[in-house]
Amino acid sequence: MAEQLKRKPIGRVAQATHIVSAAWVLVLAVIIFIDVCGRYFFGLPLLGATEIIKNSVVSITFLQLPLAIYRDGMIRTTIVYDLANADWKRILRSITNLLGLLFFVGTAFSAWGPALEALGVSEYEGEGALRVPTYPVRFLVIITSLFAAYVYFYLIYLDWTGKLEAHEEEIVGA
Amino acid sequence: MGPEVIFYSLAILLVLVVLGVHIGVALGVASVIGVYLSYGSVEIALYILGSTAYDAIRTDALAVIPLFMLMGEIISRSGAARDLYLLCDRAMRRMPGRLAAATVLGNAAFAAVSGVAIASAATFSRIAYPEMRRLGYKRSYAVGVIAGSGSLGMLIPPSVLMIVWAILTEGSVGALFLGGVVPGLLLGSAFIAYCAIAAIRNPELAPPTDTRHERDRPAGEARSELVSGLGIIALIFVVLGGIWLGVFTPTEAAGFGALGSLVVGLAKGMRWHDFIEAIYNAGRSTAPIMFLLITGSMYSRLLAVSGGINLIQELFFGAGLGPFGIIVIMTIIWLALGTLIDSISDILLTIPIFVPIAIAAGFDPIAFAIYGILIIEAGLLTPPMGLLIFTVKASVPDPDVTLQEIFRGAIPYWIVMIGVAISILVFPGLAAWLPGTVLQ
Repeated sequence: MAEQLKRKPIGRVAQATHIVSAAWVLVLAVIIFIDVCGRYFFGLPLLGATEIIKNSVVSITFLQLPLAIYRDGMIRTTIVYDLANADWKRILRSITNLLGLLFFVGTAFSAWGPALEALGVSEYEGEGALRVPTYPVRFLVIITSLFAAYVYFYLIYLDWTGKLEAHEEEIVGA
Repeated sequence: MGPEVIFYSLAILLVLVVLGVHIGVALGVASVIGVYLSYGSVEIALYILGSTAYDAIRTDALAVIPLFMLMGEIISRSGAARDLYLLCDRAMRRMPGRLAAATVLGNAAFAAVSGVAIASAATFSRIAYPEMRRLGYKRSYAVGVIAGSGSLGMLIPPSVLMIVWAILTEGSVGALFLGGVVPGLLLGSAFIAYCAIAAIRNPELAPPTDTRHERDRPAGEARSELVSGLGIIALIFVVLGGIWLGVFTPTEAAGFGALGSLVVGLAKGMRWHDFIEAIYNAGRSTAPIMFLLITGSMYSRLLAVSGGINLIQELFFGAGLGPFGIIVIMTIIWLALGTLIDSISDILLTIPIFVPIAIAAGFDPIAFAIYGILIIEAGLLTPPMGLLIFTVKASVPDPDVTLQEIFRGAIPYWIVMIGVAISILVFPGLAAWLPGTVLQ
């Protein structure tokens, strides 16, 4: 698994962010365990556990998206694609990747204003002793969206420069 | 533009999906275009992207999906599924078509610690198929039972489909989990009955085996099976028992389940590398599902702001359709979509529209949910999408198995699923009784 994507920096970064976020799921399980045991046995829940968990769900998802796109792991149907010849297949792939690119650029663009505002007014959530700032997750959504858009752009580039086959060999099992 | 914008948006969505655009992206793009057509403002249309990306899944309740995926991945890699299969085989040794029946029983037990049907189908393709072929079972019979019984994964809790359904409808995950128990057991029993009847009527499908000369288990094998059996029972008790007894929320149960699966994995001798692989792979399956949930929320928001839901409801009721007509139309749409897209996308597209209509038409919400999940799951066995069929094809260690053989072998299971689904419509208590009793 770890050997598969060593050749391309973009693959390495996508894989690294994926591994960090995948491992973070296990950390969430530990946080839940501490929170529940603390609450039941000592009457002391873990402060901010809910805030950490809900912000982690967003972060984990966006950190995992670039690799899912890079290794063609996004959910789609291939009913028309399978019937197309090589030229049409390339056109269909390009439409898919271009729309993906536009979608994530649009996401980053529209998330930018609220993120700046959250930073400017020091937007927090949570109550009492533990208040969590919202801007880190907001900026994480922007950065990972831009990265996802770049991955889509990279796939278009590979497709139109004849390098997609080598890429497909690279991602097998990755 | 008025609520009719929803039809333009749906048309764009279907065209993009058929062209092979990533379904999440297609949902997002169609939603943005729909909002633009409603308000005539690019700024408002784009706003839905950034705000939904940040807000839609920012809830601790959704942590259950990555946690349950992790639990299922660790258990399937620990070797516990194989032990479970051998245990079930021993329990079924006197039954005609015993290995097929053991596949169903093993799938049902595995489903109780795994949230997705695909994981079950892939796991049992590798474990059960070689054993069935070794005893001379016919190929289509062997692959059919693996594909068919894989569908138990989405009906027997914990199930990702139920979690998504409950979250979309703001219902109780625990109640839906309970609602799936009786129909899941009913479906499993019907599958086993079919395996036995088919084997009795046509012994060539599954030649009877002489069990008198079977070897005793070596001590190590028996210990391994014991560890797996006890581990899986303990996990089921902690996760499902914890939710139903009110000790845990589903998120907490999923957290304990993920940590419990680590303990089972360690007891089964998993190494560091195996755990890393399991964590990595769980992430690979989770991200596309979570992304669908984000963009599915964009589409739900479009339905709400455009007034599309009300328009479609008026169309349904204005056409003079009674509950029977409504459910027939919904079933046809689910089955048709099921041939095109995966089950989570199917739910995301239809539930925001169907559930309010079904409830207004007098259907019990839990019975309707279990009916819908069964019908959508049946779509996984039908061509051309048939995700379970492709999973079995990709996972069986036999390149000679054809897709046609798997589809043919799975047809009886498809019929049984439809039969159980209809029973739930006729007797809603099959799904609604247990949650009503336990969660009073």
